[in-house]
Amino acid sequence: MNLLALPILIPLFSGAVLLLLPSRIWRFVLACLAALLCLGVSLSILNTVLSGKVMVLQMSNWPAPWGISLVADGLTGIMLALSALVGLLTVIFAGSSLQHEPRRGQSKLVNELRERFGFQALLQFLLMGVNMSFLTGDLFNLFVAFEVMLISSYGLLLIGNELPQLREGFKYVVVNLIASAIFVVAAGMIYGLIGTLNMADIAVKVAQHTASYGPDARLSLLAMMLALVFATKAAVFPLGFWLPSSYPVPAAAASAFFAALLTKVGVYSLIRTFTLMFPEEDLIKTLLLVLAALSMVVGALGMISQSRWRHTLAFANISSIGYLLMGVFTRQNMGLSAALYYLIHTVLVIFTLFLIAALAEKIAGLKYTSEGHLNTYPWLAASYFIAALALAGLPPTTGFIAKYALISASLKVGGLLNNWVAAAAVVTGLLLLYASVEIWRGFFWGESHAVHQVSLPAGMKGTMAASLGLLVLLAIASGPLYRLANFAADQLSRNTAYIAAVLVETQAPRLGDPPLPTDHGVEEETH
Amino acid sequence: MELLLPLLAALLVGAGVFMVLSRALIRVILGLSLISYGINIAILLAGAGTGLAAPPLLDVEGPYVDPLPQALILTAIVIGFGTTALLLVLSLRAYQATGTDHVQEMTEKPDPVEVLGSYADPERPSISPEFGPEEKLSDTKEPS
Amino acid sequence: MTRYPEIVFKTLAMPIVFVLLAIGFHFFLRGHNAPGGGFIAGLIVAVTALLARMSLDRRLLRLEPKTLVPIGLLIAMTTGAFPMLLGDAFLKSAHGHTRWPFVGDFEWASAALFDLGVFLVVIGTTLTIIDLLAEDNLEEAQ
Repeated sequence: MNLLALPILIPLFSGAVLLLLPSRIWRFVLACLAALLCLGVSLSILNTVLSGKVMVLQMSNWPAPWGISLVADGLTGIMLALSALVGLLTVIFAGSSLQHEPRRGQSKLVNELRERFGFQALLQFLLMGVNMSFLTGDLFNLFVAFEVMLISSYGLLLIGNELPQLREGFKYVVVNLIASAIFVVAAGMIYGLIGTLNMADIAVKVAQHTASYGPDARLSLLAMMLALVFATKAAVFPLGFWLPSSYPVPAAAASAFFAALLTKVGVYSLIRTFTLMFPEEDLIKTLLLVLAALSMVVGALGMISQSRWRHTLAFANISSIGYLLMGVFTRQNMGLSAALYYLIHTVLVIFTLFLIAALAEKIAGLKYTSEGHLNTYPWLAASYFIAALALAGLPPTTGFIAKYALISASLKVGGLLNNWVAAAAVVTGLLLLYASVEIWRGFFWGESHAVHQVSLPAGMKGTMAASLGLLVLLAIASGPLYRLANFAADQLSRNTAYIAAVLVETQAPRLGDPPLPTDHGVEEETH
Repeated sequence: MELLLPLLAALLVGAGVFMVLSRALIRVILGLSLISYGINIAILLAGAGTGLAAPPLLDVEGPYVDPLPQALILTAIVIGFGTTALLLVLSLRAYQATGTDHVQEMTEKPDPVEVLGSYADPERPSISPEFGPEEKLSDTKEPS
Repeated sequence: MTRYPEIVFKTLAMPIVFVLLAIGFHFFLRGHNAPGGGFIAGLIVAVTALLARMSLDRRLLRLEPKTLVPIGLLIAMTTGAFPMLLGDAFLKSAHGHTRWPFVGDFEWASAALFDLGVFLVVIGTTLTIIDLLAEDNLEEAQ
């Protein structure tokens, strides 16, 4: 049986049932079971794609350019496994944290209401949207997946009805709606110009068109529109202004999941767009590389300017997106594999840091300026220490390996721009270190003023420890993981296997196809 | 028609953008609706160019109008319906919670003491919207 | 109970409700090959329920509309996933023709079950949204 529909179906099913279940305990059990099942399926998919096979499921058995295909290659496998892992941890974390007050000095009521009004169900729908965006091989279906993901994220962001949630939620919704509007018009125009929405088919037709007619400004425009949309979702520097104010407002579990995965969906779509569909758009790639460098620096500077846990970490997220895109657009296989390794690393680091932030907010409220928690919570300090080292990229952690790979790839490719970007990456590393030390100094260091110890729920601590353990495991298993990233990057940069797997059944019966390219204008221009 | 529909789409999107830039929540919502209408017309036009001789996979005589852009529009309309409703409820809640539907008045009520202590630039608190004093957060509104 | 005292409205509402329900049913059934289907029928029925609530002060269903959403989702999902159990692709639809008395030739499709799910979800969501907006207005007025 083809497993590819299951990462979408399991969360959908459990989300729907979760809405019907009356008891909190059963909701929690079901959500955990669904997340576990999802993890199993994702790992099995990852295992299959690692053999070099690209898995394809044609929904409803419609042949590829007409139906919607679900496709899994190496990148999809990695992303699915990551989302399932983070999803499982988030479900457990939410189950534990939603029974307690959100942060110091607040009533439990907000969180209990969040739980009762379907937090876990929304989380499942969010997972469904995320998995669907990773799996789909159809541009419009990607739009739908984005919408499923975004609408659930609106729900998660707004549930609880706190005033900052309403205020920031409105901005978040409006920004994302405008991005979605651009996405849908780009999809429509791609269909109008190229005549297909299947990503593999778009890749074939764009390549044919470029081969016979040379670069086409209209294709560049479409690629630019897609880049704009995905860069907004990924919170790349000038378009990411919505992120730092909106990610800190929801419940802690939702924040952590958003920061770990939602922006990465944007990055994933950027990778797909510029390795599969529009691999020749060098100008846009260069532009995005510059923006990546800017995001790194601005994110790190933003971190320094903040004094509240999650606001600071939201900026750290922007900075990590910058590093990711730096690898993606370094235009070499090497850069891409470094970026994929960094992706695995950064998802876990950001997630762990947000969990630590949730615990710290319980201890001392939103800010980290209250001093001296090192003695009272030594384990929290130790966890933060490891995670911060990984964030800043100091030697024993994965952060160092990933950043070293990114910077060396950038330097090897050479050229003025790449050298500058590499320099920006080094400087950002220092800034990140400074910002991490700032948190350390503010929250952990110094004389203890704590009168009494806040008892922290075991589930939250356990999830944080598990996430941290995974991070450490990542450093130990660097070799195999790097080979994994290398494999996925290699598959992406050649992309013939992907196209062949999707379009294999339908090479023959293309009777209705007009000659390529479909638009009359193209041919008139060139004749 | 060739000229009229693109102009209409442009007009709708332009008016929508103008309204989204305003500071009242309800106008923002109306503006977003206008933008999505304009975009639906644009997709309709994009699909109109691809008149195929005959539908694929079927033995039916052409010419036929490509149904796919219409399906895209339908999907976009359905999603727009949901999000507009969400935004309406959201703005209503925001109005109930703050007594205003003006963005400016909603964001800038920072506590002066809080501001001096916590901002990078105390002179311009608006660059990073503050939650306000922490005690206020505890008495949250329940959904009625 | 006399928030809408208009006599014409109240008198006409009942027949209109039934006509609208019939139209909704019609749209639901013709949706397979013609304009219509679960979404449109769902909207029509939701409007009907709203009309009934406004004029007759009663709900069409005793059920809380919110619960229709997960039920509809489950119906749609089960329909989509069922072919997978038979070894076919996800969402594969079966269809065929039957002859019914009085109706004549009738083309059935398992996709209609999926549409039923959509129908329920649309009714549930629309009524919930209207509930949320309307209740607040009531509070405002009082």
